[in-house]
Amino acid sequence: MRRHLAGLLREMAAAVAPKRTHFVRVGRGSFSETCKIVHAAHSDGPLWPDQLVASVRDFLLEEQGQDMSIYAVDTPSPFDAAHALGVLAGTISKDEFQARKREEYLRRLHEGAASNNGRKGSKPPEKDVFGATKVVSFILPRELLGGCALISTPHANANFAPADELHHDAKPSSVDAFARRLLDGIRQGHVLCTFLKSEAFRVQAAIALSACIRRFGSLAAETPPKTWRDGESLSAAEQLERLRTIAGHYGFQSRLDYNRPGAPG
Amino acid sequence: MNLAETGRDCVTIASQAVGTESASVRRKWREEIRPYQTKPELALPSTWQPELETAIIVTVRSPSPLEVALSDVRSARSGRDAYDRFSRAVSVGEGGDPEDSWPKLMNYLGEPTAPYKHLLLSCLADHEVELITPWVVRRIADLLSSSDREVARSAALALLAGGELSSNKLREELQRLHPLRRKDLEGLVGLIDGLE
Repeated sequence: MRRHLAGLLREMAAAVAPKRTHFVRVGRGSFSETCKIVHAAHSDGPLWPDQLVASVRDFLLEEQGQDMSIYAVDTPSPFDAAHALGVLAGTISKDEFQARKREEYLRRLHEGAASNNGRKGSKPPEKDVFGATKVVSFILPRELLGGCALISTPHANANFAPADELHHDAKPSSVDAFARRLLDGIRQGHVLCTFLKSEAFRVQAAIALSACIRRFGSLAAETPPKTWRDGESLSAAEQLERLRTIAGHYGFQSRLDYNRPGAPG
Repeated sequence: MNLAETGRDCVTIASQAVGTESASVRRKWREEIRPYQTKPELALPSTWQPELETAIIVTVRSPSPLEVALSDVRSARSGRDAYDRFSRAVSVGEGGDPEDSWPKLMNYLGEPTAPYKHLLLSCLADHEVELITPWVVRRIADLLSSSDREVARSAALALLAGGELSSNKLREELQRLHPLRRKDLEGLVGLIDGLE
């Protein structure tokens, strides 16, 4: 009876466990070079030139022998919360999200709200200094990672604790061979490429923030919950501040304030 | 400008500017200025008498971060390393006057053996560097027909991201290209444009 019950529990656990059928990899560094790679995958080849393979290695993968951070997702959808958490984990430590730029962003937000009082101004919109990040995400099917050593490594996730459980290290036996497989996958439509310019990136941050609120509670307090750990170079508080700002949390808050009883409008 | 902090390139540039790549300037650098480079707080020797060439050196500016990146990118370990060097330089230079850097940058793009030219153009596109100087736009547009397809593709992206003047020029130039090149670049531009 006990054995039967244990078997039943195992089956139930397997049924609700994440499928881990896909993994997200975020392009590194250059949005333009990443777009060129996707374009080349559709228009060059399939005998891939060495220069293109080198470009894939430089801007999508890692050098030979180095671990590559990827994030598990259950569905090949850019609207999957796990995708958004993976995208944020892969980008949140970028220089453009530094506190100094956040302050500039908030200053402009408050100045804009004060001068326009909610109306559209005649001044042209200024460049968004904080949310101008552009990245490409790649959703890879598990089969594509066949030649890789793949290990779940929550603590190797550098700077965004909510994505710890999704983090895996992949180490291909040959980076160049993996780059060619990746190009084949893009060409054949097995790899889903999502181009995230500033607005789409903000949406990803909003999805990630929503997933965090669902997991940790309201997150209204200044300090993050204790289970949100510090990262390699970003404290837990800084991670949460960056996430809030990218997601447009402060713009949304200012509009909520505007609707308080007694306030104009 | 503190002469003791002046780089050797400045001495050479200055002497070339007046057509006097003279031994006396090089000697002054080697014997009198270079020793002070590690001790900028020290004043120059009182015995030091500036000549015509060295008086010009005083007016020469230090190389910009972009110029430094252009000169040392040949030692980059990989394309990624080269891109990072360009990117840092462009980020630092964004607040400065781009007119100062354009001649150097265009010379680099025009040099047949210069490495990573496509990455420099991609970097300009990524940083959405405004291309508002007509001769710069024209020179980058010339690269659309380059025999190096990567350079042509990156040039198209730099023009597309560079503002109204350059994106109009891109569309105009696309019509003049060989049909195969035009189809390729239109595909790439369509990919980015579709994201707007």
